[in-house]
Amino acid sequence: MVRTVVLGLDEVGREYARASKRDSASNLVGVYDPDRARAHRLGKELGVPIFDRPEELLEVAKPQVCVLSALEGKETLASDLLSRGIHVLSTLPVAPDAEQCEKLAARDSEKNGILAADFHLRFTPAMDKAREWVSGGEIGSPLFINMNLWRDVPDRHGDNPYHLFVSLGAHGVDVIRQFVGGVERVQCFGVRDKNGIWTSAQINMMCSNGAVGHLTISYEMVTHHPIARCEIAGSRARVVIENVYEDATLYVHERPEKLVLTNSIFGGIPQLSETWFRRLHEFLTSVQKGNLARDTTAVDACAAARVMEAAYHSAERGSVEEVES
Amino acid sequence: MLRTCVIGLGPIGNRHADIHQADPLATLVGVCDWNPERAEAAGKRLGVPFFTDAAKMLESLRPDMVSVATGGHEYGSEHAAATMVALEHGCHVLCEKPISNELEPARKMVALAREKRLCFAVNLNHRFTPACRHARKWLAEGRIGIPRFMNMAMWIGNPRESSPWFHFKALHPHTIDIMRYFCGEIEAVHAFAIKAPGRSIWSTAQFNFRFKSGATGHLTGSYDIMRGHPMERAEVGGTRGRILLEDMFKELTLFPHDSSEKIVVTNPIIGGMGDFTDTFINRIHNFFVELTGGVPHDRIDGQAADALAAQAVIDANIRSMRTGKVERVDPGSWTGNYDLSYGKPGHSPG
Repeated sequence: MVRTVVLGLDEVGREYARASKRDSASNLVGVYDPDRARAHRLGKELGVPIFDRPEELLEVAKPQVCVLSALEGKETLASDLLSRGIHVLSTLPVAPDAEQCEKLAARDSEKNGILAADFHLRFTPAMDKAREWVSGGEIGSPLFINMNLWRDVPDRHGDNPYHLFVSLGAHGVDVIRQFVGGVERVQCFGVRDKNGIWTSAQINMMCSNGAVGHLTISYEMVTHHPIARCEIAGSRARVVIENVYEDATLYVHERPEKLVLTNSIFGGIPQLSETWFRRLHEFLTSVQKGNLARDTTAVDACAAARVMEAAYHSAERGSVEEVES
Repeated sequence: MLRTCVIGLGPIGNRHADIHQADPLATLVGVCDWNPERAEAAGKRLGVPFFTDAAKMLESLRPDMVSVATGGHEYGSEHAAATMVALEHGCHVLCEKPISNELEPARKMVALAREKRLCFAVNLNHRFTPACRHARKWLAEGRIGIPRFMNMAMWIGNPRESSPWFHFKALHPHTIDIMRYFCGEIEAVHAFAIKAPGRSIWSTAQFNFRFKSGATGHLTGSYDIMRGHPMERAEVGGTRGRILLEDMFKELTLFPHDSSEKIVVTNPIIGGMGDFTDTFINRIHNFFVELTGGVPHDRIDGQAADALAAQAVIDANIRSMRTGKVERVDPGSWTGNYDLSYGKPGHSPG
């Protein structure tokens, strides 16, 4: 069992703590949050020790893996953890900007811990099936991809006016990158609230595989209705993933029937929380097997951060922006 | 009973003629095409006089209303001449889309109709469905609050390679009309497009919009996807909910923010829309009702000024493709006809 801790107990941090508690590959040995009451509630719920300071947690719990969620100075802490040889699974954003994310990801993995990124939306049978269809050439030459991802305002998005882009947007662009590879240029029209915080955005993309892409992100919707939709179209077929894991559908242009993979109520994904469980489980399994090097999600997090930086620059400047590679 | 004629007798013109004949408010009195064989074939099939000269037909038959379905380059270059002659003869006109493939002739067509106080409509048939009307009613009532974003998608398989901008100009009068119908005037645009393998035209595109209201919009369009599966989708997300309209009339769903229950209006199999042809029937009948009821020329639904506004949005997208930048839409093209107050007190046209 992998000794695991969770630092930062926002919504996603709590999901990871619960996932860690029920994962047979994991031994959840501690949690930390600067909000002591919040930490106490979760510690009590899960029956795990809570700590007042990260240093104390590291000293006492001696974790092999640290899940790092929303915390101030998160990137500094991540750097410290990696230096100590602790593997880090970070929620988004991994760092305040793409450059700092790249610095973290570039650490020498021979001597340090491995950095990995959340990207839980990848971990569903529907995504696996869609990837299989697209990579297997079922859709023909790629033409376009559309991704929608929305929810209500998260419980902690702070004062960062770009949180929509660096958090929700990075998840959305990662799904897009799963199917098209790189994104070269973007253009964005956005909507802000009265405090100047971006709340909805429409992002046009030119992808490096020759397809055109688009991402809609919003913090102005709700979670009790569908929150996501992804469609990838090519010269031979179109693939649609409904609501992260509920359906994957293949529409072959020349055939009147469609092929649908529907999430099963037996052994399927029961709730979105299962996606965090599956993501963590894969990470922990890799730690146990010692093959973490194949987890390149930190690099993907940097790429997603670059796309989203270009998108919010576009929204701010009214420009079309090249994505730095 | 309206006396009607059709100019342009390709498949779409023949469809108009059939609908005129079947409509209880109209009597088809003549048809015209510059091609004598097509004119004769249609005339004989329909049992009405046929002509190869539009002016002669209009002088001879003096119809109240004319459908213009002449087509031409980019499906629209021949609309202007036929429309202008019909308007000069005092006829109300329903013109196929695009109103014209170029803006200047379209402006002249709209100006002439306005000057003569004639009703000039365009066949923006995709929104003449009960589901689309219902969606707009929900929007007007404020069921989703203030729109924050809109997504629209439409595709068909069209292998013609007639001009680089054929797909933009000929397909998107429909989609942009629906987007304006739901969210109002479009202020700024940006386009990324590709030429699908083996094609020489910009056949697939992603268009980004900013509405005058501040809401954002997005449109995916393609001439590279064959018909058969769903081909059109429109959704608007607002401060109180989201609506989703699938395939023009198949299903309309309201997802309210304050309830986990969604409200779904499904096209009934008895008394509902049959197939795509019904959008033409509804659209043309709506115009006949307006003409019969004496609706003023500037109050008719789906009027040419709105088709011109859609072409101006398309023009801005073509400019965006050429400059690689965000481009503004000519505000002189705005009509304000589709403005809604989204449940707030104020102007809320039906």
